Amino acid sequence: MLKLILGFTIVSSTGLVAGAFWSQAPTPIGAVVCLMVGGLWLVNALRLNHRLDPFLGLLSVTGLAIWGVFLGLNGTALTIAVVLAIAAWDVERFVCRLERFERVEVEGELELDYLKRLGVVGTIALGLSLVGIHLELTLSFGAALSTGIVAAVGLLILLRWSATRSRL
Amino acid sequence: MGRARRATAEEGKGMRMAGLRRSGFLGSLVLILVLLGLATRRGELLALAVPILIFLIAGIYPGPEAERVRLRANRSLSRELVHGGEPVRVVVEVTNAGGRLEMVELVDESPSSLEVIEGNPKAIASLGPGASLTLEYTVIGDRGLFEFESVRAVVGRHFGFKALGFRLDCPGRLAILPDVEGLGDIEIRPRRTRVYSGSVPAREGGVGVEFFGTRAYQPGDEFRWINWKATARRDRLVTNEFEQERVADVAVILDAREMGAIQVGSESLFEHAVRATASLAGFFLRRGNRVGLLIYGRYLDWTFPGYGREQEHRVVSALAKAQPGGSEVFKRLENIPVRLFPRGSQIVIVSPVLREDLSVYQRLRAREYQVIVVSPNPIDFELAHWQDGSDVVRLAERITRLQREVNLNRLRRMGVRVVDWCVERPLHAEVNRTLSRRLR
Repeated sequence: MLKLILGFTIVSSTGLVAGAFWSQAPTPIGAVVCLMVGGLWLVNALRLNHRLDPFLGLLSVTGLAIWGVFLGLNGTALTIAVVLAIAAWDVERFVCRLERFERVEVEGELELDYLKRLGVVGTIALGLSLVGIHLELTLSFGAALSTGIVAAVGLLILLRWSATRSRL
Repeated sequence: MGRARRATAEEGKGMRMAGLRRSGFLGSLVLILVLLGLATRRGELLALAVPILIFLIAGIYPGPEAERVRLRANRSLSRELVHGGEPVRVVVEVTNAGGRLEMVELVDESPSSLEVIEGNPKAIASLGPGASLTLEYTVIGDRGLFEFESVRAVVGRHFGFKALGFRLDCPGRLAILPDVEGLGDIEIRPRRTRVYSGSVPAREGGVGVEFFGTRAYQPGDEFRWINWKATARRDRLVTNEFEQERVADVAVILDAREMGAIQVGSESLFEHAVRATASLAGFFLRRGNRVGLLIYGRYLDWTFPGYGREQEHRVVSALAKAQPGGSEVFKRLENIPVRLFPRGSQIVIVSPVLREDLSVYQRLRAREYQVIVVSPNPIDFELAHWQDGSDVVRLAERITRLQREVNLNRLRRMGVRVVDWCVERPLHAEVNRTLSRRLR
């Protein structure tokens, strides 16, 4: 079941970005790149036993989404695509974790619990990002700079806290 | 039952790095999107950062807490003493004595020399309060002493980057004993024997089987022992005397020095030597003798002399962990502590026999020890695994064989009984041929 969901999320995320490129961009080069990224990611996940790091798939889709933003493509489609790409990355990570073990107890239950949690987080992430897409804020240079600094510092604190809590 | 303890810093590093790498990657993506969005004044980029940030926070918090993890492990082995090649079933039961653990990865780290032939020492599961998970697998291995130490547990959540590592102590020990071969008959005749009756001729007259001599008749002697011919010659009653048979002290010495431990591929001459030592010690113990074992190699491993099955168990257990090794102190056999062996007793040495050891045998003979040397032939052993039949090899073989023959003949002239054993052939055949002849 997880492999099906993985395949679906990879295809959907890259398909959405490819669709956005195809419909609005004058040349379809972006769409072709999206489809290639999607194809490679799918093959890597389902056939090549995750030989390439799943990070690359998520990084590629995010990079394509950034490019799409600069080209003025449909923001909603790009946001949904990024959410699906993160979900695909996480599902692939979970699949890799299970595949390291020949013996998985109550595999169905584990998968279901994981998918429930993923569903909740994904829904919240999608909802907030779609709200954010439609928000308009005007920031002065100083406010933007301060926001950027606060964001950077906040992230560093968050990562450092995470590192401290996971110290073994 | 073993309790959980946190993994060491080194052990945890791998797990920690994987988690940090994931959260660091997402954090970097968020930062890039936010800074790019602010710099280019594109709100869509900020909106793209939101889902990544949500996933990052959901992955970090809440994480598993070490204080709430209470795992216990209990190990059992189907047998703790086996011979090489016999399968052993390992069962490890891990119980969760704390709250629910969403994902637990369990890996039982069995000694690397043991081969898992059935089952799986790894599993991943979700453990509710009071739930247990059993790891069952079967291993086989070669001779040795193996320690099972702990089970590695990694506790995490389905959705998250953080995991905690633990070691669940559940020790176990497996001794794989050397194979023991039945030996037909070995006649020994040490100068001194012990007081208990046995099967070793004691060089004293008394009750026995073998004719020893005659003496004057004493009241109480059985009539059937009267030697009528001698009586007729001497004009007084003469009784036959028989040689008493008693138990003897036997010291078995295994030469475990590195220089004699030849290895060709996966085959080792030392393993044959260990097998021979176990067989010889077992033979003498079953005849009621008092046997001690000395393993002479990297250090001296002395098993105090004893009798019977318990002593046999001690000897094979000591041999199970014997390994060849080098040491400057014990480089030559001259440091054998002869004071450990009662004077006039029987010494059996299993050694490939090096030229520089010959003086040691001479010294042993001078101290009235009866010495038997069982020498696994290193030349035959190496050649059996070599395909090279070139002239150089044949010449080298001839020279080394001659050298060995000279050394062994020197030993024989000292009164040492030598078994030149080609390990491809069964030991009992060589021993029967050389050592079963009656000694006078």
